[in-house]
Amino acid sequence: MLFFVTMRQILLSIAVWALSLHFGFSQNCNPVLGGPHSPRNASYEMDVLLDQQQKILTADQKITWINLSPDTIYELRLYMYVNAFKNNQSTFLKDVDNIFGNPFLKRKEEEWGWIEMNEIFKGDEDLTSNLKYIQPDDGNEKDQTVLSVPLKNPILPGDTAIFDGNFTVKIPRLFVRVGYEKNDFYMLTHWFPQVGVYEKDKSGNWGWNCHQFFRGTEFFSDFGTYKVSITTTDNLVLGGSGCILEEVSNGGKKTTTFYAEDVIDFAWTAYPDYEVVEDHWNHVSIRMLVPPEHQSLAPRLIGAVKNAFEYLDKHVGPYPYNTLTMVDPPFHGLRGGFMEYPTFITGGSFYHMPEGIKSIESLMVHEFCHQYFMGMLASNEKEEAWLDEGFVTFFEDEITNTYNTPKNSLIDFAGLHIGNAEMSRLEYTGMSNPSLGKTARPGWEFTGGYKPLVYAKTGTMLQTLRNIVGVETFDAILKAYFKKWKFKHPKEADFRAVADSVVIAQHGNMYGENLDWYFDPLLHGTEVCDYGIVAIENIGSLPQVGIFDKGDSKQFFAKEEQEPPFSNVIVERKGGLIFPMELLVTFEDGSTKVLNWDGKSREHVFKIPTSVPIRSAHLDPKQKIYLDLDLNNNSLTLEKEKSAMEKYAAKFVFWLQQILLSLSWLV
Amino acid sequence: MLDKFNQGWRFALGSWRLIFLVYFLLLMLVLPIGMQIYHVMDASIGNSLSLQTLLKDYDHTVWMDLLNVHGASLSPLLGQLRWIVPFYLLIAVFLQAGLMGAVFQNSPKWKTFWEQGAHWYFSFLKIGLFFLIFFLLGMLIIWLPFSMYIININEWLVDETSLVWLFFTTIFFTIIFFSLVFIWSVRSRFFKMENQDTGIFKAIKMGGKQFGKNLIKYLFLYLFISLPAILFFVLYNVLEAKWGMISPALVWMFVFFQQIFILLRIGLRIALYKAFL
Repeated sequence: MLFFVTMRQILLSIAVWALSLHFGFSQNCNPVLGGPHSPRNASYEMDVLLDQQQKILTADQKITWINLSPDTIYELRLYMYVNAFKNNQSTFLKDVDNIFGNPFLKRKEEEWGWIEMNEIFKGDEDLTSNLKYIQPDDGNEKDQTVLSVPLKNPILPGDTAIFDGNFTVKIPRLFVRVGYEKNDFYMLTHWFPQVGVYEKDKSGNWGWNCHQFFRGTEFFSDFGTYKVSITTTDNLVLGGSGCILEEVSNGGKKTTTFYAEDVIDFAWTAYPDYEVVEDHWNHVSIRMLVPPEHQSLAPRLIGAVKNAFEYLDKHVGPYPYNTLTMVDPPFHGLRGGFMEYPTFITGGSFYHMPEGIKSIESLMVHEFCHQYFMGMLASNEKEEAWLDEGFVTFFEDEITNTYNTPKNSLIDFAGLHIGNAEMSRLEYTGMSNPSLGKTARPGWEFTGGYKPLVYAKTGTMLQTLRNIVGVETFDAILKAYFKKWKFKHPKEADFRAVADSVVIAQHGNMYGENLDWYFDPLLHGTEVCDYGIVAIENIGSLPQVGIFDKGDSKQFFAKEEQEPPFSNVIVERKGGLIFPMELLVTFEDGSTKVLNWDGKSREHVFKIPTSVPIRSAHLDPKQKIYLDLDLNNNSLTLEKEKSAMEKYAAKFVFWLQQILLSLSWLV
Repeated sequence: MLDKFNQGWRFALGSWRLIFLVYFLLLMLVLPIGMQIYHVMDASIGNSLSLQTLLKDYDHTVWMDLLNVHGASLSPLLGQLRWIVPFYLLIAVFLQAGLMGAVFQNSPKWKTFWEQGAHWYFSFLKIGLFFLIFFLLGMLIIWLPFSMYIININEWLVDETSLVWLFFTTIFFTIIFFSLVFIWSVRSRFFKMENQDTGIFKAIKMGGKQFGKNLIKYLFLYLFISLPAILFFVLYNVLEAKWGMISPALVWMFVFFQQIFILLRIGLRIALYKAFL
């Protein structure tokens, strides 16, 4: 019996092997644990043919869209984002001559790209003739990144509409994120007609939220399933969102079918030289695509992402997907890197990057964190980018700091130590004008300071919040936020409501009735935080001197030590933001005392009864208020540490001597 | 070659007065900037407890906050380097002339140094200018492939491995070229000293010929005499990484090592001159 079973297994294995030669099953494709997790109201099936000579994609597309609103829908709106690269009059390319340092004015005809909906049907209704590009945001008539599809028969509330059509994409040479590069490298993101979001706005009105493609913004779409079959030459190695359902080779061609569930987007890449490195974390199959010259870096990058899995699972919530595809593009495809798409992230590394330079790991962790903040907590990145980029920056810092030491989590090389969190803070505090503008505003309203304000200031803001309310409360906020809003479209008010309720539940009114005092000025104001210590005054005992009334007469006296001895510590608030402050005072005998201040007045004098002189004072000694622009002026000592100044002055002299001696060899 | 090596070392040891003289002049030039660095730090964060952090280790936050808030005080100091470097190069011509003159006369005395420095200054200035321009042109040629590669990187780069190796190869050739130019320049100056009536270009030409004939010998001497400096520098960095400048005593100990290293470098220069004579 045992032999029989074994023989049957062997025969089955042979059959599967033989089939795999033809079909090439890569894995058991089950993209998500359990589910459905989301409404899945925008689902797509696409059959795509890639013409590698012409750099053209042709695709049949089936869109299944459910009207979840109480409105009757008379028009569908589609993102057509490849048209951002059609010409330099698109809103994306207008008024600039380069994109992130990549000049484009001298591009040849074949290096531009576009997307066109050839035809679209709803059942028997041909909607093609009424298609019209619209510009809901800036009225730029030459921008063709949003397509309006007027419907002949509207979609009633709760109804499901199915649209069949086909479209063509002329793939641009990589500007940024989407495009081809030499040696058949392809990065396809925002590459297909995708439905916008029909939702209730802040004032309670329902309508389409389908913004044009701006340089700083990208994501907002509904959850759904994606089944995407891509036909290419069989030398290409493909990776995409979700898992590989099947891979069929036929006469030098290969059709790879990807399947994803409960995701808001689908991206893919192809390149003949990708090496595939496979690994797993708990239930998640990790598939990393890496060019041969970067293969030695794969364990570092996968290790960093595994740390992120572990951390976010513990501090935010479980990762429900069964797959993650990590892409490390080749150097010439680097403009397709550093991005995040559902279950598909792209990084960027360099041949033999020293281990002490950990930016490549940090970037991959950053993109992975977007699986939560954007992927599952699908906030509107175009309107409220801080809700994903800011949170992701915070978690990138936390994760890398947790699995390294905080002072070297970004760089630990040649005596230079830089931590991720401190780098984020410095990106904000080092701005030439940290009051440049509000953080919470749509991406297209930023003319400068987008990254320092949206990423770094928000990350530092969350760090400060965690320091104020405590790690446990902060974790509870994030867990509650994730639990309530995953696979939905949370807004600022939703996060703040969760934060308020958790803080009230755990601390009562200790931090006020809500956290408006914290979030309002930081998200909607431009004030900065800068506290400092002005002086320490060891006054001691003051005598009573002068003329005093005694009965009817006036009497002069000068008595020594009539008042108890005291010292003063004078502190100030230079910035407009107000935070409660702690003051740590250290006395000459080594004893310490902690005092509190509400931080409100512009100047405050701590009068400290003491016979022992104060040696030093430190405002916010645990650096809880990490938003403070200048942490050096938070402390003051009467005993200067001259050795530190001597050390760096001497080092400067030494290096200058070395340089001059070396230069003199030439003359 | 061993004789030359020994002669170089012996003469350098006997030239301690010249070593200290050159060291002193160099120190006088850089010390004012070092003192200003000290004073700017003192005035900006001198009373901050952040200095305790800085004493222990490099701290990016402390430095960046210092630069963000007090950067305007520090940038003029770095601006001073713009004129200190060319000024020092002009002085360096005199220092080289003095040291080489003392070596040539076999007289490691201050008087010889000053006399020879003054005597050969303008001749050596011309020779120095020639080699400076020659070196810059050489750099242009050596770095041209790399620059072209970088400029057109997107057009023909398949992967960055070739770029990395090209970079290291270019660095290697830069060091080799620097060494060759240095030895050739020293030989040319000695030829000028040996043949006082010779013109500058003939001295350069003959210096080159002499160097070419004894290329291997000179390169080995250069390598062996430079080796202690490299070893000392590595040792210094190992010790500093291990112990750190984290207390007043260690700060002054390492400052002492730093200055010893500078003295050693000047001594090695004299040893090289003697060996190349």
